Amino acid sequence: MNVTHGPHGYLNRILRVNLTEQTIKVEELDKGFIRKYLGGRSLALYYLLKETKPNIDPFSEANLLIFATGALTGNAGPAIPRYTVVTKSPLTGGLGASEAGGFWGPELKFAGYDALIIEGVAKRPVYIWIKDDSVEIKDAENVWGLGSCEAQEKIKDEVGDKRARVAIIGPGGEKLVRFANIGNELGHYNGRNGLGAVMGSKNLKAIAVRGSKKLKAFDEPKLKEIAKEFAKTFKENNLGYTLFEYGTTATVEALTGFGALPTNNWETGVFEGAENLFADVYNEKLLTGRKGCYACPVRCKRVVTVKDEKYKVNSKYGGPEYETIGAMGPNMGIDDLNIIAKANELANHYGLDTISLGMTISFATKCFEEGLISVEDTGGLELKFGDGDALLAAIELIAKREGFGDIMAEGSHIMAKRLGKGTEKYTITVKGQEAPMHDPRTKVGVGLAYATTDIGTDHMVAPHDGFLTDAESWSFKNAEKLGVTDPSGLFDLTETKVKNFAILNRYYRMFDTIGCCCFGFAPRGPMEVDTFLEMINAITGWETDFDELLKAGERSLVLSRIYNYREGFTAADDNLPQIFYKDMTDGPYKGKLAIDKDKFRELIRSFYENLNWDKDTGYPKKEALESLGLGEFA
Amino acid sequence: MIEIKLFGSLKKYVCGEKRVELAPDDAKCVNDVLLILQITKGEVGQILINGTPVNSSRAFNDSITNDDVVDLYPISAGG
Repeated sequence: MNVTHGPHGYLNRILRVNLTEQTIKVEELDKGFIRKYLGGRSLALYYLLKETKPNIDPFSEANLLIFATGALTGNAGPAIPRYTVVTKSPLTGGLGASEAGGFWGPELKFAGYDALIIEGVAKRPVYIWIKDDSVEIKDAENVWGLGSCEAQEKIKDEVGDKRARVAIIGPGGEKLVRFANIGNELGHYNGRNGLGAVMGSKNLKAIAVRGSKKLKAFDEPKLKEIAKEFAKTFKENNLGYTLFEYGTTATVEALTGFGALPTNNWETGVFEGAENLFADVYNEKLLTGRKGCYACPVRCKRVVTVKDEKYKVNSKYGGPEYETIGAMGPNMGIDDLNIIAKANELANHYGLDTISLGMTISFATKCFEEGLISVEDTGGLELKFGDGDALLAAIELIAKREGFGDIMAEGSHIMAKRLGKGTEKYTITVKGQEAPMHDPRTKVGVGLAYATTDIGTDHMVAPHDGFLTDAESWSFKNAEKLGVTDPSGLFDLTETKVKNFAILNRYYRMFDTIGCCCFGFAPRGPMEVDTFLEMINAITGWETDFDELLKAGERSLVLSRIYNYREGFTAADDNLPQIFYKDMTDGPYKGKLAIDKDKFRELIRSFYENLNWDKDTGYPKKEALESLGLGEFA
Repeated sequence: MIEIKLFGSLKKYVCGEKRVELAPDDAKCVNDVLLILQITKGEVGQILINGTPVNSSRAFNDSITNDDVVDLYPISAGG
């Protein structure tokens, strides 16, 4: 056991870089700050609330871009590599936040910092080079305009360190595409909400970091024991086995069973070519390797090679995951994995979120097929479901904001407002962000997630309903240790559904703050929650429990709600796209499963009450703020 | 015979096969299928009998007979 004083697993240090003033500062966090907020999304929200004024333009100098690791990030345990990027989103106008794994977060901590706050706007393109205590703002003229891979390699050459880790934007971020992302090591993305566009607006191409410090866990032998055992056994658990063997691609098959594979901009959930996208086909046709994140043995990331010369890809960009397969595949009427792999590569080269990208192009395609726009609007581009070349051409236009790509680069929500002509009915967004590839009619908890999440539709805010349907299942038994008491059916619109969601929403938000990947830990991942808690305590020495940790997750939910309401959101924004209040159009549930709008509204009110928020306004009550130690934000 | 079709990770219960057949005398309801193939209930997300979703909620006591086709799908997990 480590008996040294001071924090274990984290550092209590923040780096602040002002691009306008070209200044660099290091600040110490108060003792107890990380234990209260855990880091990640909460740490960043704390500063975003304190240091930005309401109603600023996301692309203005006044916006902050905050990179924040969690208390566990970078320690030598499985599935704890993650960090958050937070800002005001140019896609939604509310909170912009998205987590990524990979290697950049751990490296920032090895350099001695829990978080990095970027202020201001550089006069010319720059990148930041952090090597332990040395921090430089460097000229990026040589790499501005380059794709992520080429730019990353040049930056590593320039700083003279091949092992530097680079968080980077592609040309899409430079062009302020409202769903541009930030990547690290070409396979890990802070994908959603247009964070890359904010980075582009600051003329910041990349942040390269290299650290030499070793993080000190409170109980190193215990941490090693847990990590070793996990590496040895995780594949014995079906969830671990599936993530290693298939990544997330087996979801195609799972949703096919429900007739819930979003197809042709969600016109139906039944896709004729679905079998061509099944996980075994993917492994046989594309898969050439597996990649993972820092210190994690699960290796759920894919490496692919495309044999068809026409769609050949740079394997360094990794292979498509389920969301990308869904958004660029069935959602665009495409059943050719080669085309999907190419679309994935282009998105990563240009630095674009594949969900919003696929959904925006499918929206445009639907409008085209319905005759609401024509080749005169698109500059000659004929958009058709099933046409892979049209999809790839549309990606190029968006990334460069050329021609019709300029309006598509705004995302489907803003695009529909500009187009008018009744096109809005074909958008599937909440708070301006496009839906991921899961139909909430077949898992109502995902509907609660879509409606209430402050960043707009998000499928990663609680384990999906299937993990909580059987009282005797391994996942459910783990969830019981977090406070879940009763199973809930997939389609249930009940108080139990709300209660389970509210507990696990806190739990997943805790992941987003402390630096965890949900693929590592029960109910969704292979490590049991008891072992997970042991690992947290081995790293931090906090002797904490899930009561404290879930409260920290709740604190984060409250902070993001305060931020969004400050920016003008209300309870009316916690809603679902109209399509989900209608019956399924095809498949085994044809004519069924419409979510009852009134009952669903009651569930949302019940969710507010569960969190001690006002059931009508959805705003946290004063007592809630005080009980969470957030009185200063009242 | 009853044809059982397995999808996604559930194939591992039958050595990677996509289809197996069971005798009607051995498998009279869905629960029998799960027991014979040693599939944990919590890993099954959706079951169709001849293309129709089972009605038993999670009891899996739906009857099956000769020539039925039972599709077993894994949980749709997200991510």
